[in-house]
Amino acid sequence: MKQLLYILSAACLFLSCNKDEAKVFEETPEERMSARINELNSGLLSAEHGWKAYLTTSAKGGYGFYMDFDASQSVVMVADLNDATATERSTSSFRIKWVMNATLIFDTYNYITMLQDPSPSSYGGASGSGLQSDIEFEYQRTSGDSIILRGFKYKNELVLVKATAAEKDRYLGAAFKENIDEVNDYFTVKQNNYITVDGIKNKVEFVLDKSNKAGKLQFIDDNGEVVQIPGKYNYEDVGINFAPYFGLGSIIFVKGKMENGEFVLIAKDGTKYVIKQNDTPILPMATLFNYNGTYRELYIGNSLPAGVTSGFNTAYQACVSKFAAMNPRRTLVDVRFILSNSGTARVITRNNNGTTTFTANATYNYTYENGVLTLSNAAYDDNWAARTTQLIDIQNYFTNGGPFRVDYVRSANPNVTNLGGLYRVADATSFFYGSLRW
Amino acid sequence: MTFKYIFSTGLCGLLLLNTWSCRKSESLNVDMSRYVVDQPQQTEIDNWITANLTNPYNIQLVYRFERNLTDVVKDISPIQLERVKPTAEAIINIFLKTYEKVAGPAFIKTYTPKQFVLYGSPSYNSNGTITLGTADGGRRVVLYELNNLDFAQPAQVSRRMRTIHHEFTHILNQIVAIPPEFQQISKGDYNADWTGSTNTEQVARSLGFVSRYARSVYTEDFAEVTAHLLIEGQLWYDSYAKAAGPDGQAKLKKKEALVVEYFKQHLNINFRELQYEVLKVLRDTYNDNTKTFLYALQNSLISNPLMVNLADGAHYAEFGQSEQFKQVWEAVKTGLGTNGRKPAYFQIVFLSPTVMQVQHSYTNAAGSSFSAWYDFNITVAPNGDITFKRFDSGATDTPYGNGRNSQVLAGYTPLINYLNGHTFKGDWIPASAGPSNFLKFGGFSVKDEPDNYFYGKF
Repeated sequence: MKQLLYILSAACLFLSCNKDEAKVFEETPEERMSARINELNSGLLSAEHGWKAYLTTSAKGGYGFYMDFDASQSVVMVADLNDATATERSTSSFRIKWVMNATLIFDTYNYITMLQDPSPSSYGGASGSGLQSDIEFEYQRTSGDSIILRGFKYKNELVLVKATAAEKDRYLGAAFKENIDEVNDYFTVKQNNYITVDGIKNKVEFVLDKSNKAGKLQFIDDNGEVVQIPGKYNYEDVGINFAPYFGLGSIIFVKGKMENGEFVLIAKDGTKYVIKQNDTPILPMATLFNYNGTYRELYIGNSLPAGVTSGFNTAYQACVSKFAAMNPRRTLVDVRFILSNSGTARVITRNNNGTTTFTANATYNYTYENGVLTLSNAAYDDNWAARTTQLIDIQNYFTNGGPFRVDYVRSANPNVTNLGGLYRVADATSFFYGSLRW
Repeated sequence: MTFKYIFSTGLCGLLLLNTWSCRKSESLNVDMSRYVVDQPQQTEIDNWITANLTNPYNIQLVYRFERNLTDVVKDISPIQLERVKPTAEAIINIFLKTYEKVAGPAFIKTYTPKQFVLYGSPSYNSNGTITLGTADGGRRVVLYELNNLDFAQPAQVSRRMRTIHHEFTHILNQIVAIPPEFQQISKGDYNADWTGSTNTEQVARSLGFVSRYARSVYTEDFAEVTAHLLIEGQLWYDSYAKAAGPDGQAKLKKKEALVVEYFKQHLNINFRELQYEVLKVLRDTYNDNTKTFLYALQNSLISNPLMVNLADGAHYAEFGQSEQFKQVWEAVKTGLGTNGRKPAYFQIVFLSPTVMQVQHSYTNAAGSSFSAWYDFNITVAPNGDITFKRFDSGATDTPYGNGRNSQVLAGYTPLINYLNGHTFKGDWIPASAGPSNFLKFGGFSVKDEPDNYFYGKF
C-alpha cells in the first residue's frame, strides 16, 4: 500500500511540470484583436464613393441607406425612411470597438438610429423597442465588395456594398427620392399585380406593402391551397432591393425596378419577370376570407361604399331612415360582418343618439364550404333586441337571406377598391358588401 | 529501515522540490500598447467639453453611445450630435455655476458627480413609465430623452434641469443623510406604487407631496421638494401648497423648511440664494417667463397681498419712492383730511388673474381704525400693458360699505383715478436689490414713466 503511494507520488513528479507552451493561434490575443479592428476600420474607409447599405428590422421591413465613413469617425448618410431622410444628408459619429468581436457602433443619433429608437414618436413601432433594430453591429466578414455585419441584439444583418461614383451621385442628388416616388406611385396606381412563373399553374400575385416595407408573393398551388411568401425590401438609388431569401423555390428575387414603364422583378440568375395587372384580384376572395385568413371582416363605415348597386342597398337605407326617425334622432355609425372564430359569425352594428354610441350584436353559427357561407341559429343581444324595429331590414337580410357566396365586389367608382361581398346564392344581384379588413 | 527512511525523506524532498519547480516567474507577455479596444477620436466638441467641463470641474461628459452605462437590456438611443453642446451648457449654467456661486468652487468640485452620461431617447420601464435620469453612487448622473429637448422652450429646459437637481440632491443625501424629521412628516403616506391610478396628482398634492413621484419614498420626496423649489421656484411652490388644502400646505411648508435647514446646517448653503441664482439663469439665459411678475399675476401665483405703506418700511429709505405717486397719496390725505380722517396704508389682494381688491385702512377723527375696499378689474394686453378699472360688485361687506361712503370715496378718488387713468407695467423689485429681497417686493409703474410708480412688500 505504502509503496503504491510512493510510486504514485513519483509519477506525479513527472506529470507536474508537463506544461503545454504551444499556442493555438500564431498571434497573441491582442494582436488578433487589433488585426480584426483594423480590418473592419480600413474596410469601412476603403470605399472611395461610400457604401450602399441594407438593413432589415425585426418589427417591420427593410431599410436602405447610403453611408460614407471617414477617418475622423464621422459618417454621412441618407436613407429611405421618409422624404426628409432621403434628401437631407445627416452626419453623426461612429466608432469601432472590441466587444467580443470588432463592433461598429453608430454612437450618436442618425437615420439608422430612428429604427432603433424606443420612442414610437420618432419612427413608429412599439414603446420601448421601436422597430426592433440595432446601432451596434458585430463584424462578420468581408466578401468581395461587401462588408457584412450583424446587429447585437436583434441579429439582423447590415450589409454594406461599395458604391460607384454614379451611385453616390444618385443617392446624394435628387435621384434617390425620385426613384422612391416612382416605385410608390406605380404600386399606388397599379392593382392586382402578378407575375407568371414556370411550373406554377396560377398567376402569382406580387404585393408591395409600402408602409411596412414588406413584399409578398401569393398564389393558389395545385392542391388549391393558398401559398404566401413574405419578404422585406428597401429602396435603392435605382429600384428596390429584397432582403435575402425572397423567392419561389429555386427562383430567388433580389431586385426590382422600373423598365420602360413596367415594373420588373429580377431573379438572382438575372431572369426578369415583368409585372402585369389583372382586372380582378388574383386570389379568389374565398381563399383569403376566413376567421384566420388574410381578411375576416366586411366593414361599412358611416355610409355604403360608393358606386355599387345591390339589393342590400334598400335594406341598409331603410335601417338608416328608421334610426333617423327616432326621437332623439339616431345615426347608424357602422355595420360589420365578421367571422369571429371557426364556428361563429357576427353582425355588429353601432348607432349613436347624439351623445352615446350603442353596440348591437347578432350572432350566428356558420358553415363555410366551397366559398358558400350558411348562417344558422341567430341570436340577438339586448341592444339588438331593443332596436329590432330599426334593425329589422338588416336582420332579415342575414337571417333569412342565405346562403351566401363569398366574392369580390367591384365599384363603378375607380377610387373605391378592396370591397368584398356576401352574394345571395338565390339572387346574385343582391349582396351584402363592405371593405375587406382583418 | 534506514533505507526506507532515506527513501521517504528523499521522496518528501523531491515532492517539495516539485512545488518549487513549478513556480515559474515568467512575466505575461502582453503588449498593452496593442491592447486597444476602443479608440475614440478627439473632435471639436470634445475639445470644448475638455475646456469647459473636464478641466474646470473634473467632470467627464459621455455623449457617444455606451451600452455599459445604462440598462443593458433596454433599447436606448444615443443623443444627436448637435444637442451635446447646448445640453452641456445648460448643465454648466443651471446646475454647476449656480452651486458654484452660492456654495463656492470647492464645494462644487468636491461633490458634483464626476460623470454625466447623455442619451437621446427615454428609458422605458416595464410599468409603462419612462426614466428621465438616474444617479449612481454619487459619481454618475445619466440623463435620457435629450433628443426632443427644445432649448427655445424654457419649460422643457427646466424639466430636464429639474432632473439634474433632483439627482444631485440624492448625491448630497449620500454625503449627509436626510434629517429623520423629514421622514416623519408624511410617514404613512408613502407608496411604492406611485404610478397607481389612485395616486392622482390631486391626491398626492392634498397629502402634501410636491409630485406623484415624491410619494414613492421619502428620499425621492426630499429630492423632489428640493428640485421643485429650485427650478419651479418659490412662488410656484407657495401657490401649489396653498391649493393643497390646510393639511397638505402645512406638510409642504414643513418639508420646505427642513430642506432649507438641511442646506444651511450641513452644507452651509443659503438655499434662498441658490433659488435666486437658478431663477436668474432660467429667466435671463433661457427666457423663462414663468418667473416674471406678469406670469405670476396671470396664473394666480401671488398668494400674499401687496402691502403699500409709504410711512413705514425700511425699503422706502433704501430703494426710494416715487415723487409722482407721493403727490397722489398727499391728495388722498388732503381729501380725507377735510372730514378729519387719515389714510394709513393700503394693501392689494389679487383675487384672481382679472380682479384685485384694494384694501384701504384709515382712521376717523376720533382715531378709530376702519377699512374701505375697492375692487378693480385687471386687463393685461398681449404686450404686457396692464390697465385697471374700478367696479362695484355690490358686495355688502362692511369695508365695501365704508368705501361707498361719499366722504371716504371722495377722499380716495385721486388714487382711484390714478389707477383707472394710467397704463401700468408690473414687476418684481429689480434684481439689483439683491437676492434676499427678490420676490418679496413688487409693484406697478406707469408705462413709459419710470419715475411714476408704487410698490410694496408681499
